[in-house]
Amino acid sequence: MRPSPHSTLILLAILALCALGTFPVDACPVCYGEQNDAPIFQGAEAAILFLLGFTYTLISGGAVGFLLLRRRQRRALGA
Amino acid sequence: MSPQQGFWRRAVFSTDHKVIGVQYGVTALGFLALGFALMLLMRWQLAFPQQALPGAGVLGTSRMPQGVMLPDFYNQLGAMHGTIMVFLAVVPLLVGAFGNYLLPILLGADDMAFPRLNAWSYWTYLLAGLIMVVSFFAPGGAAQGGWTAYPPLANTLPVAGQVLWLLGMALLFLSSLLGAINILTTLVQLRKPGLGFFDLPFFCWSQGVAAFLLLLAFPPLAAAALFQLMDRLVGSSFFLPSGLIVSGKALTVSGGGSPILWQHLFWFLAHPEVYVLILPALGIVAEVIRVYTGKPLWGYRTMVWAALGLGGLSFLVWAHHMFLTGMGTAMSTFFQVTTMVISIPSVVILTALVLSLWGGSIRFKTPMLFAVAFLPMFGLGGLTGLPLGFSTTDIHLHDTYYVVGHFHLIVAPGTLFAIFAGLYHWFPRVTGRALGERLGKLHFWPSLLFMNGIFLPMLVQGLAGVSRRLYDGGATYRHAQSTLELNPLMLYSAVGLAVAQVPFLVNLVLTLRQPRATEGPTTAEHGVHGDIPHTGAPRPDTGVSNTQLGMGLFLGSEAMLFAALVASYLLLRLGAEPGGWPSAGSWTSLPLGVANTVILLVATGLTVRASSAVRRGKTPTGRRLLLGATLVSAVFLAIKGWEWFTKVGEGLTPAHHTFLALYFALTGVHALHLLGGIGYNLMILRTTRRREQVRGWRFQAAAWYSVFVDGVWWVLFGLFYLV
Repeated sequence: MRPSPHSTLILLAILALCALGTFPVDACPVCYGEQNDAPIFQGAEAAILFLLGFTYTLISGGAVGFLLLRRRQRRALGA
Repeated sequence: MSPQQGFWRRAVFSTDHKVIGVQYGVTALGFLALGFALMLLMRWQLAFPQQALPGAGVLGTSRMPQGVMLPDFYNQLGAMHGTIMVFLAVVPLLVGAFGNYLLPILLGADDMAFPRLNAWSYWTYLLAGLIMVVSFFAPGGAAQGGWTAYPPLANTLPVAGQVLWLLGMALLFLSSLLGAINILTTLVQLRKPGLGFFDLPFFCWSQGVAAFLLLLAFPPLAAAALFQLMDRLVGSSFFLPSGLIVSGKALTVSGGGSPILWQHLFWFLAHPEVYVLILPALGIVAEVIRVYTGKPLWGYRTMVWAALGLGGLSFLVWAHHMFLTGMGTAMSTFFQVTTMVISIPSVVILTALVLSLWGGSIRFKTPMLFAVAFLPMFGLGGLTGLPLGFSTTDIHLHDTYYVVGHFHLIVAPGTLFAIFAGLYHWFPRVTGRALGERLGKLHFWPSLLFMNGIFLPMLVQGLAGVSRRLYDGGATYRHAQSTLELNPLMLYSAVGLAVAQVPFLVNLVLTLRQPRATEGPTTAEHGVHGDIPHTGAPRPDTGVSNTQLGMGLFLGSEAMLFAALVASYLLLRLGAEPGGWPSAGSWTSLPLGVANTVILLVATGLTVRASSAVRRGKTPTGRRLLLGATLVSAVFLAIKGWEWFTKVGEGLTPAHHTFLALYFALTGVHALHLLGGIGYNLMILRTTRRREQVRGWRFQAAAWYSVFVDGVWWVLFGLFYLV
């Protein structure tokens, strides 16, 4: 049985309401070393952001390449 | 596999994917048994601290004098059990054995895309494993810093085994790289014509995503291994901060490093590695469920998208292992959210597998029993991970036995049950003989019972606050007293689990002694004979050759290696205390840097023109240009070598300052790449010596590689000479 578009929308709305109804739970800054002024902290943050950015740029490139190959192949099969 | 080939070529140094798959399987099962034996010794010590284990005195006075385990040996067992189980047993079984054997068959191909690289991948893995095992006999014994090899402990322990561990990891990186390129190229290039990506069994997708993770996640650990090797061998301080006191004495190193750097690089691999373990396991379970319910998988496309999502998100969560390192609340919150998000695709796949059972005519044969048992065990492993993903609850649970229980539920009853499901299911396909059902069930039920007997008590101990890696199992800790009686229970369960494997071994021996059955494969396959030959020519429908795709994937992995090196530079440079970093040009010569930049640019231009000439049919011109590029590259290396020797002569060694350590490491890795390029060029020149017309793909690969190495140099030039 396929769900109707309405039921999917209602389900998504309920999920969104649930998400909005939550409140963030974080450990206190004391436990997690909230020391933004320490150089090593800034270095680590920059390294994390660089690694994340580079990785996802590379993955995006790979995904685009894969989609292009797939499209080329489908076109060849259709021809 | 030709019958005309001799025994060694046919059965040992074979390039046939089926032989290599079996080689991986047998070797990894051997390592699995070894890792299990190490665990049994550990559990004895935890259950009966410092009591003699009868017969264990044969292990020697440096390990277990009169059968009593020494603390150092306990640490070696802990580090090597984890390393062997993850890197030498489970991943090679799931990817090396099942992937190699089944992928070409399921795709309708003759073999993997690069059969020789496949063999190299196996032999490199075996060498890595042997180096790690031999490290038990090295001075000081095997590695003792845990399977995570955290510095400063792993850097400063006076054991040669840690160096061998690092060498082993570097070789495993190479093996994984070759294997991952092979699997991905095979998936894309060697599919039977007309077989679309969404026609592939889920198993193929799971192998593909796992290979992609290995391709991109392993390089940062290779970078970390290089740094730790340099710290240990040449006195650099990548992971050693200034003013470190070890055993009451100030460490005489330059300092300026950070142990946090190792953790980032290690977990960048080690968390995606969990999905490398899980995804192929899910792929096996999906195939078994599909066959033994007699109906297609429920939500196949959803499962494929979920697997892709799992792979894509797995690079976003590594730092949840490091909540307590002082990342700050913003970063902690980010990684907490991504960790919760990544549980969604896992749950989607698990739910689809459970729903696949609905309405099926289920046959509870041994493979199906293992597959069905996998579902709740994996679910339990996943659910117990959620409290560790929340930064608040992680304060209490971090580094306790709860963590050990959680990940063992994922990788032991989780992946191992999938492996056994696959072994029982595809055994007839490999050997032509089916494993006995009665012994199979005698294997399954006690295994299920004892697995839980080992790992569920760990959760209880962890909730009570018992730390992992305690030599005495908590006997000397007041808060652990109420859970101490669980240690003997876990030991007896572990022994029970060992005994439960006896029916499996008996089953193996008895079955292999039977005559080979004549019937063919028992699973539905898309094809048995390949229609895609192994040539350098592009595949007609994609227009891409195996070499082009393989080189593209290789460069992607290499880019991750250099990205990890540059990220390390950023962490150490921006993390340096004010005034603690040299100004531009104080330790490097800008004219030499500029000269080398120009030289490399010329080499790259010549290589690109060589490729272009060969494409236009002018092979002799292309060869001359490639020879010129090779010579110019050699000039670059000569200048670089002279620069290094001059610095060392002036006392500017990697041990002097973290900047110099980074300089030698990064430019050294770059030079090695350039050396590899020179070797590749010479190989091309040799193989095209007497030919007027050659295929241009090798020249093209050389050009791509050259452009990449040149691009990396521009980044390094900026980092070390300009800023």
